[in-house]
Amino acid sequence: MRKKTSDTFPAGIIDIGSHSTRLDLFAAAPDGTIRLLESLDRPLNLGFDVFRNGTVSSKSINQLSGVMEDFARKLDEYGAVARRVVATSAIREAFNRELVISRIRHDSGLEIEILEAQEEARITFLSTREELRRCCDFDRMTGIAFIIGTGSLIVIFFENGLLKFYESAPLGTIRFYDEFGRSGIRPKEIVDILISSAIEQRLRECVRLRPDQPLTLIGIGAGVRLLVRRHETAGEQTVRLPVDAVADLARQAMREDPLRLGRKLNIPDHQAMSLAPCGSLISYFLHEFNCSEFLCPSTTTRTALLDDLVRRTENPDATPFLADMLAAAEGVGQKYGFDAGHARSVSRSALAFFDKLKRYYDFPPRSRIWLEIAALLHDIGRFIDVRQHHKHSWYLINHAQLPGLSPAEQRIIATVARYHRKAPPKASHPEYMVLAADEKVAVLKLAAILRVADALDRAHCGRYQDLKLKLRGDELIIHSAAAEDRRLEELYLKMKSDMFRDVFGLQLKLEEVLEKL
Amino acid sequence: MNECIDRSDRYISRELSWLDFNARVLDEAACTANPLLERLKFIAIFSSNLDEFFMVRIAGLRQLVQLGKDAPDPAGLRPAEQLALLRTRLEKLLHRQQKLLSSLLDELEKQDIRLRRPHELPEAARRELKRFFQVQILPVLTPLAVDPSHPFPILNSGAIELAVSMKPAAREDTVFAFVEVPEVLPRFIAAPDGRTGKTFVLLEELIMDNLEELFSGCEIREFFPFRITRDMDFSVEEEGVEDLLAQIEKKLLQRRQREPIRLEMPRSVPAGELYNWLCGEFRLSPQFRYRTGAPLHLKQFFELAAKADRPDLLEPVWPPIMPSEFAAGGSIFDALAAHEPLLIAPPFHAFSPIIRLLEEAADDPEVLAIKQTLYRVSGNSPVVHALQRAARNGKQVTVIVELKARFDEGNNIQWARRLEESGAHVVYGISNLKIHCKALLIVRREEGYIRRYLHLATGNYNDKTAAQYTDLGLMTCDPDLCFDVANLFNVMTGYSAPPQRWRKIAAAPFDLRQRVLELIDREARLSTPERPGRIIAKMNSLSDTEVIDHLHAAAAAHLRTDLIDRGLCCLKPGPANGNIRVISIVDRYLEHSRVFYFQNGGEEEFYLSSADWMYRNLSRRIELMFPVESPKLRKILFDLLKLQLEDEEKGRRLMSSGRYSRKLPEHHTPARSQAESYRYFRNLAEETAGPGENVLKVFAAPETDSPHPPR
Repeated sequence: MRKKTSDTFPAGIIDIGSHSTRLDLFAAAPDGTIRLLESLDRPLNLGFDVFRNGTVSSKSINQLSGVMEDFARKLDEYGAVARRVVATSAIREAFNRELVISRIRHDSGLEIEILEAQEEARITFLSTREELRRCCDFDRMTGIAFIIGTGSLIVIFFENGLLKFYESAPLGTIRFYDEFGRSGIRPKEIVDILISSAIEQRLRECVRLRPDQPLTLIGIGAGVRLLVRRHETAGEQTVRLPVDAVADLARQAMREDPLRLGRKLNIPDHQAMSLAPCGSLISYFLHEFNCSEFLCPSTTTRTALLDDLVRRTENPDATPFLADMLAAAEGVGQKYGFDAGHARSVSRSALAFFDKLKRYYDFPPRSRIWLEIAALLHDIGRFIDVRQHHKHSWYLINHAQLPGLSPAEQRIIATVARYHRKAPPKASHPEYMVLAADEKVAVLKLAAILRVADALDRAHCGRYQDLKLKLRGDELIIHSAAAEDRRLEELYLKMKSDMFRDVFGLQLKLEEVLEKL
Repeated sequence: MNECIDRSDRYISRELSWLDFNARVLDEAACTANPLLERLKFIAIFSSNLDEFFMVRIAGLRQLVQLGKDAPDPAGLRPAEQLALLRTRLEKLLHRQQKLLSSLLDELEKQDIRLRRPHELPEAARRELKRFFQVQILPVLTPLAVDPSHPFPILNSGAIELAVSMKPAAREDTVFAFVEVPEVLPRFIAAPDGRTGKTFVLLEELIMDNLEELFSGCEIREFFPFRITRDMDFSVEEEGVEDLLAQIEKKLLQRRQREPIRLEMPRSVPAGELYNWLCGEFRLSPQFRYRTGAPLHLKQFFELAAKADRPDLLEPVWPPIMPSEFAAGGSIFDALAAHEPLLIAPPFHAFSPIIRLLEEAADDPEVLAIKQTLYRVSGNSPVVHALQRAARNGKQVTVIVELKARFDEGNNIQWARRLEESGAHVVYGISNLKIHCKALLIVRREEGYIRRYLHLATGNYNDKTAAQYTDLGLMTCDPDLCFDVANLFNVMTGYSAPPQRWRKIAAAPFDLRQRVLELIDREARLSTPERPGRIIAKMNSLSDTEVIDHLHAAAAAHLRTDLIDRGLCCLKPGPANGNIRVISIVDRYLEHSRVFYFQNGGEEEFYLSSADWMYRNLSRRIELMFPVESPKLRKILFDLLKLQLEDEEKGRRLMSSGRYSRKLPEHHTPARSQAESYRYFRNLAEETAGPGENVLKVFAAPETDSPHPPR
């Protein structure tokens, strides 16, 4: 476990956006205070290339290289060892993104990390939640949060303060103008595009959103903030508005000439262009959903990156997003009609095995989370077909929206779920063979546990809730208080414990415990 | 602005106003309250100022006339009219200067300081001087003949030249030649005449007395000294920063070839063959030819003041005061962290804390980075040495050098190169903008915590001028000011676009103009007949028409404005009301600080700034205006401003006629603001330090000179 840092440390975040590249240098103190030391901004329109042509031009790469060399020097000036360099929508979507990353690495020594939409959703939601918890009872709130950047839109559904679903769309404030030209798009057309993207339909399908369910609408992004700026209150980070008021703002933004409106609101011209798209978005959400209130936190991608870097550096083992990851997994499960009781039961059992075995065996750092999610989602393949459902589960998990997980982790979880039944991994299984060596080992161990946990709930009635595990020589004794007939579980345990025996060298034995444990 | 409207009721012509400022400098030469040699120095300052005025301002006007650009200035005067008026006023001023000099030299005679011509000396002294000439001067001289095989040479601007016409032995025609009086040699040569005191001979007189040594075998026919001043009003084509250095170096080399703007020679020169030839070669119209009854190049009379070696004929020394927070020695970082914010007011205060700060930063292993702007530095500058050492010690040193600091370009290029060689990151300014702000930022790690130390000032990082100009600087660790200035450095180095908003500063060319106008307008809005608002603005020049218009409008709204404007002031106070009062202070130190006070309905605001209220400062330069928020420091600033506003001795008032009131007291008075300011800071240092530590003994002269008892 890494030691928590106790000193103030300088850190830097570089955010390569669609239209500018920013460096924020700050000092993070042990008490959590973040003090911004310097904030640099270099206009660089990568979005113009990518949104029109799909690649970053060589001229832009050269310019970006120069900027990154300057920023690298800046980081060295403060001795900022803690640093994160992220690229959002433009480079994320560029066909030649690997070339860009390689060039920047060579020229400046900085490693660009593509901030995928799910990661952007994760960190922004975390920061937003921290802020909103300070001013309202956020953990009881359910609603929609949208993050509007210059290149993309992310829509998040949250329930009782936990992120449950998200998706992204290439609908950023400036992107409209880059793709369609400054005269090519009108606010109403933006709304039409949004309607056609069927966000509302997917939310109904994926998270079982009821048509008239009252929701809190949260708008995140610099453009939204500019629109509501006049309602800011001194000392309050979050702007809280009744729906009527924000609807008026949205209408005004859609109707008025953006430059004129910008001057009225004392906003520079280049930022005023984002008002109409923001107004359109707000208008869409207000129309399509039953929004009961509107919140606009001060969170931006920048502050979210900052908070995340501090969090990671201060306490690298903390998992503040775990509950959200599990909620999102449950959301995916719901989308595919899973048996929630069975999934949770299997998950509980699997974790009990894991917690016991980790004292004696090595497991990778986040494998407990992988196991828990794999256990929740192992049966979602039944949505496609019961036959071969383990293979369908593999595909669905691999392609699900699971924020907080990297693509590699998602692959591992999918493969663990794939092997919860039937044949163990073989050389003829490409989905297993494509994994790295340590990933294969993780899959073997976790899948072995999952098979056993699934076997214990074969009846899908959650009979084996409070497992107590005891190691006796080369036997792992499963103690449970269940008094009914356990022959079904014993049978399936016998059938599905082969992998467990092969991986851990332990025989499993089910024993009833008569006294209360 | 409509060309046809006469706005002379609101505006004063800039160049005429400047000449009035220089006239006030000349007043100090006439003021008998000033010691003799100080008065002589003012004669020299007057000439030095005039040289630059010709090179830049008059040259600029002539260019406009030559190009046919005839637009009137805000006061309604066209360039040709300005030139004519300037000529008229200059003739009077120059005449006055000559008379004053003559009178001063007479007074100096009584003090046994004499100026003589060689032929006026005893023979023994004259022979001695001849030997001196042969050994020390002759080897340095390079006569330049002009004939068909030797074209008219390029003569250096500002140097005294001797024009000679002669007939060589083997020729019938007249040959013309020039001998430059080398500036590398002393102008005043001590003459060993055996008398008490000191006798001096001017270098050009000595050369003229020995011309036959230079031109042996020639019959010298005519000779006289003259001086050419060249037009130095050129701009650099700033295509890109990479080119800027090369461009400026190229322009420096081309300086010698610029057109002459002024020809000076003694009144005694006859309109003979040599004179006519010379005037014909320069093709300079009579408007730009000046004949004088005084020696040429009076700027060099500083040398006489130094060589006289008579402290009793100079102002008493006012030893710079060490602010008590720094007086105990020890780490300057510790002192700052404990006592900031602090005000440093050279030359009343020592400039050395700034040097100490840099030197300590250079060697402190906890210092990560140093950033500084440099506009004009002294030769062999301790500032530059400290920065070099810091770079060699591995600090991240960033220096923004303004190459376009007029007449300091060569100096700046030299030491900028040395800084680069030491490993500093040197940035040579920004295209089309002069970097004029004065800022020093030090980043230091302290027990894991990053603290930044900031110095912002109204004056340059120049230890020489810091002893001659009154300035103010703020030393602070204020996080918001540090944040703003760090971002401003990023803008100047090209690392970042300017932020949308600064936290505390206002910066030109981004939002300083808007901020200044907003502050004036706000004051006007808050102003009522019963409770008039108040602005006190101290600066060196006021010429921006937009600011002037807002000040006039504010005055009509009952706002009371006090302008302490040392130099040119293009605002003409109205006769109808006394709501705008303009005073100018010219005294032993050059007033240089920029301080701004806004009453703001009782929530007073104070600012210091690197910028005067001129168009170039507000729109064509990087400038910085920053608030002073500490109540203690605000009180000091207000007290200083009050002393200046009450300066009945050196403060001249600009009247609605456009002329200044003139005072020439015979003795210094207790109302002299610079003396009172010094006393103020001394008392402050003593109060803070306690008795005994900072009591300075050498402050007798202002008190003993004054007939009034000390306060």
